[in-house]
Amino acid sequence: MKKKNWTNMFFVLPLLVINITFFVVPFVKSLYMSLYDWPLLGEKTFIGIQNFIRAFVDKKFLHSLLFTMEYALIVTPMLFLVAFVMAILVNQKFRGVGIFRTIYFMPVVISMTASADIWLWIYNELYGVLNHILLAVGIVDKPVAWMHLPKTSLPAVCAMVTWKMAGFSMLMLLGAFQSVDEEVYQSASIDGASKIQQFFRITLPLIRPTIGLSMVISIIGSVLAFEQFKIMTAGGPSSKTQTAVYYIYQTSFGHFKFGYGAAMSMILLVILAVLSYFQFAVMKDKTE
Amino acid sequence: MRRKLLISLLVSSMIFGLTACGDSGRGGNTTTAEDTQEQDGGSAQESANSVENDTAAEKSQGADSGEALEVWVRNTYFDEVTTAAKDFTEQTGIPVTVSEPSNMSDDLALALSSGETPDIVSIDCVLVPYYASIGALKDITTEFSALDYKDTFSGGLLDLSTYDGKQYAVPFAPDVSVLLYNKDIFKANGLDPEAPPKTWDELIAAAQACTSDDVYGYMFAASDAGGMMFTFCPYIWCNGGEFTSEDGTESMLNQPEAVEALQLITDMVYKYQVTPESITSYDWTAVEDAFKAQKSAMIVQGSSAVGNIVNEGYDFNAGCTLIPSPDGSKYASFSGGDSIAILADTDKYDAAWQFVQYCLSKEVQVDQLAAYGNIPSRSDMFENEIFGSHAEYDVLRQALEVGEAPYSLKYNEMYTPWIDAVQYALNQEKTPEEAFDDAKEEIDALLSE
Repeated sequence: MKKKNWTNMFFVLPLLVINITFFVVPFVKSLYMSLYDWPLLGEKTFIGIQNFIRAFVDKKFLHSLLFTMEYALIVTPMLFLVAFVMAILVNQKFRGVGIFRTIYFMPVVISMTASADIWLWIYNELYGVLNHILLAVGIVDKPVAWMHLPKTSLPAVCAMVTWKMAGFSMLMLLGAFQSVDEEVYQSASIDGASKIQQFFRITLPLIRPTIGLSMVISIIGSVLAFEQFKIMTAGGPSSKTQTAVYYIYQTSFGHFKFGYGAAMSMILLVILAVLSYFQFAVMKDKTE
Repeated sequence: MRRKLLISLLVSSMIFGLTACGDSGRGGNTTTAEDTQEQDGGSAQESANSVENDTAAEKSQGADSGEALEVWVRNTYFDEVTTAAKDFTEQTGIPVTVSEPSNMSDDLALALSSGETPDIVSIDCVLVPYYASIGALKDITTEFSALDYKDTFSGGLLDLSTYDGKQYAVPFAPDVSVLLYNKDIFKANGLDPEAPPKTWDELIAAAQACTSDDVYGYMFAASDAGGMMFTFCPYIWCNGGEFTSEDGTESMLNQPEAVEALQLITDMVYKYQVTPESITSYDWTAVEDAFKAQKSAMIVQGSSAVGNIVNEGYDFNAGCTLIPSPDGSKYASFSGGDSIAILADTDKYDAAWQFVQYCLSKEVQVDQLAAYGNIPSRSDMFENEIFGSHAEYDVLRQALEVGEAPYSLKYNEMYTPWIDAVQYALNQEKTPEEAFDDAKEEIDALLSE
């Protein structure tokens, strides 16, 4: 038993070292920085929780948090629904299904920056292909300025993120679908359950933990949104589409207020940890 | 419960890795002049293109010798400085490594905080006061004063390179804003292609004449704070306004002259309808593309765009002129571009200063920068074979003469209230007066910190 424990530790060690080096150490350093007035160069001054107090009365930071939550609340279900439907579709057994799985997953492997650039071109008011199609079909009678105001730019960014990330959630859900024992469905069929009843009474409850994990990853990714808004909207107009991470980045690397940026990062961390905790609690597998 | 806490902690620490760790972003090109010298018949461009394979060897070579100067430049001037480095090494034997950080501001911040700084940096001239104020740059007052051409630099750009009465950088590659216009669209709409607008009224009239269903008369990068500083501030200045007070302690945007300028561009959207209503979604690239695609008859751009005109980079006939002023009596331009500075941490000061001087020589200023459409930073080099052959360069020279830029230690911090105000007005959420009143309040608060 003792030898097995050491063997287990040996296999976990590399990831533990990476996690400590690239996540835990920066976390501790950030916590330390958040208690200081920390300029780019020069004297660092201990100011205690002043940075945190400042963050709680900083209208721009609070607005960025609200906007981030708004974005997360829109994109998360959108992304999940699309991924869920795709997972159901590619869970069929037919020749060439692997090609579809590959195609649906492909956008996941390109960077968010590249994806944002591509879609910025698609949405372009003057020569974007989307307006070209909409005008040709007659859905609109003049080009739409997709990235002008939040009422269009926010859904536009959400659509881009859904296109890019749905493949990832699709794979997770596909794995969950395929992990359900076929015999369970056979037993249910014998008992007279229809396909729809099997889906809602068997499949969904059994894959609930995976649904929960998929939602947690999606929420975390949404709360950390940055590149897509920096590239597609530049946080505008008038900072209305500036996310929390974007504001933290601007404060730290634009205004060189590293201590204040670290404090806001800590606040964001707490928000994320709380959200994650509640999500896991809600999605707890009640069949266990 | 314990499992959920562990997962939350793991997730949280991963988040911190994302927000606390910075990618060094050194994804750009790097080349060492010593190695490019050794390649048979290799051009600087080929050297730059083969960089990714050679980078490790080149950097190792430089590090082993302990003599290689490390130079960081923005991508706009990477090719020119790479060539200059190669020539410098041929002449002096001092190896030079030229790097093009993917984001100069982020990478320099990381370098300064980690203590791993280059020897020389070519940075946005408006940021020199800030970096000088935090002790990041070397005081070069004595060496600069000994230059026999020290009086040939633009006064505005030279002022930006000083802090507390001392010189910390030298203007290297000026960039000035001028009005570009499509001569073919002008001609097609009955305008004289050789008579661009000189006044605000003429600008409006020309824009209105050129505007049609698929062409806008005038466009600007209203989603880009820096872009609007570069292209719109001259309208404030030529109207007699200022961005900040002379001592830099308060904003002057709420003054009538600045408000009138903001009213002008707002009217272009809604009153004269020569600019799209969605203009606040247009960044620098989008406006450039619109001009290239002949969707905009006029835009304000910098020196490199003029280089495009000269090198026939457009598919149409284009021209340039000074940015129109209210009555044609006083013109203005934004004097931007790069200044070159030596980092305070360098241990190769003499070699670094030698390279800086080389960058200010004719070999670089004319043979490299001017050849790519940039204006020399020294007025004694304006009369050169490249500039003399094209009238467009004379516009750049005139723009440099009337150019200015706000001097501030908090230049970056002023961006947000500035662009927010401009966008509020352009989206008709506030009047220009309200927008600039609010901007002044916010900027004054920043400047008083």
